[in-house]
Amino acid sequence: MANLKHCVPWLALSLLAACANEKIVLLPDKDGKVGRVDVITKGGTTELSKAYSVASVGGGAPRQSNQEEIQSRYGAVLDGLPPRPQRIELNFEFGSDRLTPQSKALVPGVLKLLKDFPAPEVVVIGYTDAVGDSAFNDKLSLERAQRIRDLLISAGIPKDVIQVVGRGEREPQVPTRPGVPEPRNRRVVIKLR
Amino acid sequence: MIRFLQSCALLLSITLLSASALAAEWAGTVKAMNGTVQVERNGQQSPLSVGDKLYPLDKVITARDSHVAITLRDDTLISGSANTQLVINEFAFNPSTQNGGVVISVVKGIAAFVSGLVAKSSPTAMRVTTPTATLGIRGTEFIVDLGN
Repeated sequence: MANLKHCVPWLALSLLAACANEKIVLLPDKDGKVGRVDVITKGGTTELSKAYSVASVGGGAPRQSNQEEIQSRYGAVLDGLPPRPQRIELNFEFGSDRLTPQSKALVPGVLKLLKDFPAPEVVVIGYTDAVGDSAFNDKLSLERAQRIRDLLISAGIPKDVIQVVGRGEREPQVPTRPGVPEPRNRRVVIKLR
Repeated sequence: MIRFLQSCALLLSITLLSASALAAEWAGTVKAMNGTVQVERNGQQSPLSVGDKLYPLDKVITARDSHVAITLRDDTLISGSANTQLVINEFAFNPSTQNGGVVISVVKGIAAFVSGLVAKSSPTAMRVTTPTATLGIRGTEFIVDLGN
């Protein structure tokens, strides 16, 4: 009988351990959309598709929580996420690796963003419009990208974290027929993560 | 003899090629941390700092009052709370096609995720595993809390 008394706290503890367990919380994306996570166990699959719904693994249907509760419990780990990757676009003058005046004005802000970014990794991708032959455009797009890379290096971004790509007239922002000048396609995209 | 030299050169270039391919195949980078954060690689533990690269099969371990923020090459974001252990089980990503495969295990603790380009490319391409469940990630933001 004394044995049984001993057992009760242990039993309670092990039950607690079994229930306390794994929780999965689905959150809304930054833009307000809600994704989906399928929680798959031996017992079956629970689908999470509502913002702030919580699946307790092995614990039946998901429970609906709310932003306040999730924020108070998980605020620290959410605030600790790395900064979101960024995509910046700069435009160029016709047939040249000179930035347009509008894009030139954006450069100081871009450099500040990169300098403040923790351990930045950068891909600089150059593009052209469809004027000129493709070999010329491949070269021009690479020159545009290199021009931006040099700017980033002179601002103190380490050379070895910058990757440069020239895509010529491929993947136009605005599709055109060959030979059509299109300012929006004369660009460099900076991907920062 | 020339044959032999040729095949040696070929072998050497293949070895060099695969070595450089391997060097490029990092999975992610430490973007922020505080406290004590270790990586276990090939059975050895060493401290991590901001800017360090992480590779497939690395286990990241945060101590008490510690935290780590990791960005994978496909833009997946991970935040590891205190007393947390994560393993990058698989990571493959082709930046041109944006296809690949990502498997992360949460072994202990609490982690928040924002899935990236791999999960976007295919609903079966990213998985997160826990001691008792497998999560199929259709997107995008979620928390895994192991309650320990």
